[in-house]
This record gives sequence, C-alpha cells and structure tokens, in this order.
Amino acid sequence: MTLALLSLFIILFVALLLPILSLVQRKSPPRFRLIPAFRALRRAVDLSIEDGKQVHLSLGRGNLLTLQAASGLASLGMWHHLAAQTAVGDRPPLITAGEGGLVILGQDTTRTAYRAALAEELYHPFVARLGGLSPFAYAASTLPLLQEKRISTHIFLGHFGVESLLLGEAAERNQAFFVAASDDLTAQAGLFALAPHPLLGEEIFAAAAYLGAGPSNQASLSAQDALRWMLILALLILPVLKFFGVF
Amino acid sequence: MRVIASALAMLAALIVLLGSFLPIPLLIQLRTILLRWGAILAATAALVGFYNLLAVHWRNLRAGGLQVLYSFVLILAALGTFTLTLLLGPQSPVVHTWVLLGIIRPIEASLLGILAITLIYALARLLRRRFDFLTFLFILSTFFFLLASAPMLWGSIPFISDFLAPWIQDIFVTAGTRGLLLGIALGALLTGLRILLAMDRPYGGK
Repeated sequence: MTLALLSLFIILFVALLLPILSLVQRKSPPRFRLIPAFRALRRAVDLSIEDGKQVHLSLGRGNLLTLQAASGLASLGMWHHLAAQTAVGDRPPLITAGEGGLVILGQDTTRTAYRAALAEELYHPFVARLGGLSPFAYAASTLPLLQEKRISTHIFLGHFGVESLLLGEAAERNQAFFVAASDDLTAQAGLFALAPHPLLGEEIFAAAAYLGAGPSNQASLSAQDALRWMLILALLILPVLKFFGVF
Repeated sequence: MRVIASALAMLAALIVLLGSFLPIPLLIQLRTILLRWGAILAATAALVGFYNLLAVHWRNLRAGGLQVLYSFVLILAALGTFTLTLLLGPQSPVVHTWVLLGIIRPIEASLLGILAITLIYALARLLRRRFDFLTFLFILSTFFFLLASAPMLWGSIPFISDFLAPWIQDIFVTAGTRGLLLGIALGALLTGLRILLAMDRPYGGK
C-alpha cells in the first residue's frame, strides 16, 4: 500500500511538473547536451527532402497494452514534427510497424502532420503499413524496403529485438543513413556496434525534444532529468538511513 | 470530435492508473473491463493491420515492377495461413506442425544464423569506424565474456570463468543494466504521462 501511494505521489508530482516546466520553458528554452545521432538525423532528413528521396520510420513492434509501446509512442511524438517537414517533399514519408495499433496511430499522426503542413490532400493511408507480426517476420517484410534506392533515411525508433540488426545492416549496405534505438538492452548492445551514431538507454525518448518538436517535449525531458536526480539522491540517502536504522 | 477522443483517452488512462494503485473495488473492476476492451481493440487493430498489409501488396501487384513476385507470394502465404488458422484453429497439427514448425520457424532460424554473421561484421566495422574509449571497452568486455563462457577441453578457465567473470557480471554489468533500465522506465513514465495529460495525442490530434 505504501509503495502504491508513493508511486501515485511520484506520478502526480511529474504530472504537475510537466505543465509548469512547459510554461516556464516557453520563455527560456533549456540547453541539452549534444547527441550526435539527432544532429545527423536532422541533416539526413533535410538532405532527403532536397534530393527528393523518402524518409522511412520504423515504429517497432511494441504491443499497445504493454510497457513496450512507450518507445513507439515517443517515436510518434517525434514523427509528427518530421512528417510535417517531409509532407511537402517530392516523395511521401513511409512508416512501418510490427503491430496493428501502431500502424493506425502512425496513419493518424501522419494525417494530422499533413494537415498542420496544409498538405492534407497529399495524404494517403498506405503511408503507414504493417510488416510481419512476429520479430523476424517483421524484419523479413521490411528488408526489401531497405534495398530501395528511393529511401535515403531510415529511422528505427521503437521496441525492437535483435532483428533490428538485420534492418540496420541492410540500410548500411544500401548506403542509406540510418539511426536506430530500442528500449531492449540486447538490441541496444548490438546497435552500439552496428549504428554509426548509437543511441543508448533513455535517449530514444529524447528524439522529439532534440528534433525541435516544441517546448512541451523539452519540458518532459527536463522533468525526466529532475526525476533522475531525485532517484540518484534516493539511492544515495536511503541506504545510509537504513544503515543507521531510521526505518 | 478531437476533444471527445482526448477526453475518453484521458478518462480511460486515469481509471486504469488509479485502479492499478488504489485498492478500491469499483476502480479495480472498471480497470479490468477497460483492459479487456483494450485487448479486443488490439486484436481488431491487428486485423486492420493485416488488411493494410494485403492492400499495400495488392497495389504493388497491380503496379508491376520488381517486387511483383514478392508481393504475390506474400499475399498467397498470408491468406493461406489466415484461412487455415481460421478453419482449423491455431492448435491444429496442420497449422502448428506444418506451417509454424515446418515453414515459419526454419526461416526465422535461418535469419538468426545471418544475424550471427552480421554481428561479427559489425564488430569488425566498429574498429574501423569509431575507435574510442567506449568502443575499446565494448570490444574488451565482448572478448572477455566470450572467453569466460567458451567451452574448453578441460572445462572452464580457472579464476576467469569461476570468479572474475561472475564478479564483474554481478557488480558492474548488473549495475549498468539497472541504470539503463531505470532511465528507460523514466522515459516510459513521461511518455505515458504526456498521453494522459493530452500533451501528445497520436489518436487524431497532435
């Protein structure tokens, strides 16, 4: 019961912190450390639009009823911003996912991004498509896409397992730019070796803030940092208190 | 419409959240009902996704080009598996033994085989592309743990396999893994809260 109340208190605290930080940071945006992967991604997307090439986002296969969906949902937050940018390009962007719900959300996000870019008539539902529903079926169905020369930027941000290495390798072989991150630690280890600009740990959740999606995304990154500091303090203080028999 | 969608999403999320933490019978009951509805909706979404997959490849088939054969085989295999599973059930020997164990698993295993080669290749390329302190540490730990777990003619390497590797695993690897997982959990928490507060609306809004 105590643990449940503590969890609820933390959630309530963050829920209050988020809008406050969002308002404060509208006036003075925070400065975050440089993450080379996002800088390279921004440049790659710009180049894709200039060259009339396509941008491909892979949302992974996180089930929407589980915690694994979080990385895919965070990726969609970033996608709204990128899709609006690429909407007016020569070729429409493309989304693939290994989960039906993510495909529908991908379609919805892209449509609203097109609407925001005043290009809704260019939207087509096939902009988002389902790969296979199992990890390797998804990889197998996405591999042909990665061999197409018309796609010059691949973004793999979501819940992936080791199958993401096959996707990254195919993108690399096709000399396309790719950035990849997963919430799965095994995939992260493999991607560290494979990706030109690896993303580790929670960096996957920072994509929207780093790609300039707005102050609210930056606020959530600041809230995440605040929580991290609270956690570090708790990890340092609680064992000392326990040692002295306070609780 | 967008306001209704946002309000419904926020209400459902709030009930599920409170139902997970507070032992109030009504909230727990509502949470269970909502999660059941969620499961049904997720299954429906999978069907919508399946239709989307067929529609995309049907269009490829009609447009012609290099991927006609691939799209043809995909549609045939997808419809065949779907029909068989629907008619005979997923536990039927035809579906389980022939389709799953006879076709899908061997293909997935072959992809796993390619994966091993991909990893070795990636490691070799990493040395050429980005040789910094982190890369050095990564390669050193890879070789160390491979050596510690590799089967030898005489069993295992004394001291390394039975003391040093488990010690590093228990202290440094576990600590690092927990640190990464805590970071991911914080990110997931914030993502969930953004949707709960309607700051992110992937369902028809921003």
